[in-house]
Amino acid sequence: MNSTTLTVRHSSPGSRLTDLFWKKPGLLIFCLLLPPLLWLGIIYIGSLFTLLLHSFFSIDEFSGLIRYEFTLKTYAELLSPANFDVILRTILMACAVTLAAALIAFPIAYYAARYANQKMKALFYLGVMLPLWSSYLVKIYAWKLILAKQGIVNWVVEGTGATFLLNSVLSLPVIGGNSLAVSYIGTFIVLLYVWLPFMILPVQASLERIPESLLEASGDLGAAPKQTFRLVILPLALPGVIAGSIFTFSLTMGDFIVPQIIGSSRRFIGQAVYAHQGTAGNIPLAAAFAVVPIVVMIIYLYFAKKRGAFDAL
Amino acid sequence: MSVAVKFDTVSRRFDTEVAVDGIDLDIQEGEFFAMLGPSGSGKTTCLRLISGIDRPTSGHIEIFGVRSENIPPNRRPINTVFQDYALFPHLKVLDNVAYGLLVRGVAKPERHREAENLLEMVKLQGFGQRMPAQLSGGQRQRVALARALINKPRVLLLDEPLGALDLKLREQMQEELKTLQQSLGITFVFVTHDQGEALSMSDRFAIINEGKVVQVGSPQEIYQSPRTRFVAHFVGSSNVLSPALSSRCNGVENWTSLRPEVVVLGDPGQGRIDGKVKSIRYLGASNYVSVELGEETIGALVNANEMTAPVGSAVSLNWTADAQHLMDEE
Amino acid sequence: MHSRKRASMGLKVSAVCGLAFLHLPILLIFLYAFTTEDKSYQFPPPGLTLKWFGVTWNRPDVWASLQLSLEVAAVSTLLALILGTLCAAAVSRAKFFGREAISLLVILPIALPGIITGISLRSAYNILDIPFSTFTIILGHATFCVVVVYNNAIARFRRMSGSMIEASFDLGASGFQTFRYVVLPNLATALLAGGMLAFALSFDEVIVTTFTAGQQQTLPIWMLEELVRPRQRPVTNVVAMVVVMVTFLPILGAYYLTRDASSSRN
Repeated sequence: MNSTTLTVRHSSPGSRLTDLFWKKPGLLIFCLLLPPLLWLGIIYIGSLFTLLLHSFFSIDEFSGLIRYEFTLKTYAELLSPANFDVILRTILMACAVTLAAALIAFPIAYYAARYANQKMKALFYLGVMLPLWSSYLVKIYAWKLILAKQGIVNWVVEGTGATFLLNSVLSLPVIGGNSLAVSYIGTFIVLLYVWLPFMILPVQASLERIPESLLEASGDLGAAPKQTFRLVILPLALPGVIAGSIFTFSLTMGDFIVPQIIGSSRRFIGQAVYAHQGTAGNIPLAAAFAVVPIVVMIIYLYFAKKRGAFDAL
Repeated sequence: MSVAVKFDTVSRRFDTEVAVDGIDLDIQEGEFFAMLGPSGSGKTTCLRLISGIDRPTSGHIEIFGVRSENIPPNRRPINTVFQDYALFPHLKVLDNVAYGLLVRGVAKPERHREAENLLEMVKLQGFGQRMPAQLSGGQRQRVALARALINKPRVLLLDEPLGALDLKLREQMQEELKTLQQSLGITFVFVTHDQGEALSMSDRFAIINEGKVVQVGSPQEIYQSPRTRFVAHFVGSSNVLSPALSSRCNGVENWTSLRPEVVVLGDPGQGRIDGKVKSIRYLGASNYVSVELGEETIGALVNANEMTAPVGSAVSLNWTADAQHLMDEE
Repeated sequence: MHSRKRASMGLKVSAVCGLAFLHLPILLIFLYAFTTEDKSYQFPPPGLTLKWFGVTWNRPDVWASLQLSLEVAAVSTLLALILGTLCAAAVSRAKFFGREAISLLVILPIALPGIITGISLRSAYNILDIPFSTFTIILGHATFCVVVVYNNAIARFRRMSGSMIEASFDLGASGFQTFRYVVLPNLATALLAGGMLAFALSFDEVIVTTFTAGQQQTLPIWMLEELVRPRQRPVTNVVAMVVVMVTFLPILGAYYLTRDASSSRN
């Protein structure tokens, strides 16, 4: 039988390739990695690089064409008071949405991780996955329907006679407005709605990883349930919260469709990027605006990594 | 008898550690050879080097006299029973066993017939249509064995195949494997950290520690004449006497191994040395009596129905000269 | 962490309210698809009708957008499947320098806001003078779809016993045979799940697409137009409902595919 001799040699190209990869396992890894690395390296990193490059170009005020020369003029423009307001507004909104998402996500995640049985858990999981994956635009559209003048919110408010309550909320300075659909409150609610599911899953995952025996040990050592929660559960769930916040923060910061459809006329970074690259054709300023979330996220990721949030991703 | 597998100063280094450190070793054709060592000693790496899954960083492995560095695992007349069995979870038991024939292009009826034969050999006839997940640990182990034998290897490697089984099943499999090896007449190389397994199953075995072969020999040789303290400790729970204690007992200043079953207890002053009973452990058929001698202790296995001196009492220890073994090195 | 104790009422209520907050708006979409009102978003609908389904069916612009979306999603998914699987195979197979960097590189296109990917590609097309086309849309979509396939594939690779591949070689299989008889069958459901999610992601994507599409309209771009300047409210309602249903199927499918794989392991 063939197998009993060592000298037998197959020499089909396939088996020669097997031999080659066996002798040089590194080569196989290299061949596997080459296509994805080329794709992401050239198309994605390359594009990011041209974005950065563009932010150091400027627009010629007279011709409206891009001047391909190195300048910091665009960045100076970025930091002008009006533009700086846009940046500040966006970051504040991202913070608010992230905080609110963490607050709403925690009970859901906590319940699913701690009290749900196997069947309920699957239901919770789907209950988060379906809204997470379902169409972004449809979700926004749903809120357009909800917040519309003849929509469900006004119908409920009028039906329950809570008009004065809504009006007093809307009369608040800055965050109020003529109606929910054109106020910061509206923008906030929709952004929260759209990005909330991204917070729930990592928080739940980090809660699932806490062994029950740890909580029993804490109780055994004399901690009241509230103390166990504060001293054991919360610190251990924190990496999950931070991991989730990476998504809610980043995605809120870059969103330009939500504030465009639900909100006041005051711009967010995403809208600025979109407007400048579009009709104005000012790609350099759009690029400079886009660099802001990148820088913010790099700082954010640096601190998140320090807190061990990457293990919770 | 010719050499089946020959290690010629074989080393395998990983980034920072040396898993196998210049091993020389001959494994004879047709023998049941065990590699015994603690976990992390490099014994599994040795097995992977023989099968070709891993390659030595230096040195050569000869398989039936042929240098193996250019022969990939799929062309070696060697098959492996993996520690976790590595059954293909998506294939029926029959197709698992027949896999080696499938990749050789053997037609379906023929390879299924052959697989059925092997299943019968490992006493699993009728299990062919099940999935691996539906089998018990012991059954999976038999499937892995049948699968590894279907290509009629000249050397079968077994990586701690009995580790996951419970005691009774393990003892039964030890016997079956031994019988199987004798009836097939091929070389078995068996990796284990269980000295009992190595002693009871192998024709010869090697003790491996920190990537080096410490001693090779038949079970009797190694058990009776351990070369180092490590071997004495690892194979059977021998007493190891320090040179100082040894010179008090024998007048020879060597590390000395002394098996507990040959030590006889007596009244003080009647043996080679006197000590104090420190503890008595009941082991069923016998008692294990620890006797304190200053810093060191010597254990003695005493028949359970013999009266022993109570804890704290003074006793003497005695043994015949041929029951002890003076070790050449530490 | 699972407790046999019962949850407090407050926790239960907030968990249920949170989930309701996530689901009720989507359910509303289903209601509006049947409304008889076509000038405003009146609630409750004055009446229910099936007539808008017929109207939508006969709209060539909706069909054209749908076709483009399906084309883009299919090609992007295929590319993502190839790239994501290769990458996962490499990263799971060996420890090598820069593994973390590669994981980060794969995740980056969705961890950074879509607008970054969009404007980056836009500026790259500008510098290289590449005209907008279906191809430019696909480039963007495939890039952010890789991560979905990658995540699914790498989870499965990690779960696969490493010695399984070694066992295949040991039994005489070549690299190709090992891939065909061992790796692929074990990976298949994970790839299918990853592919479905990638498809859903691409089919629904709008942010990157606004920067890479030029004059072409994918279905989401068509919807965005309607959101900004509502002209065909009833048709939009119907399209929204169809989109929800079209994306739900692959998500449910992916869930069941990966769930089976993890439960059969026990």
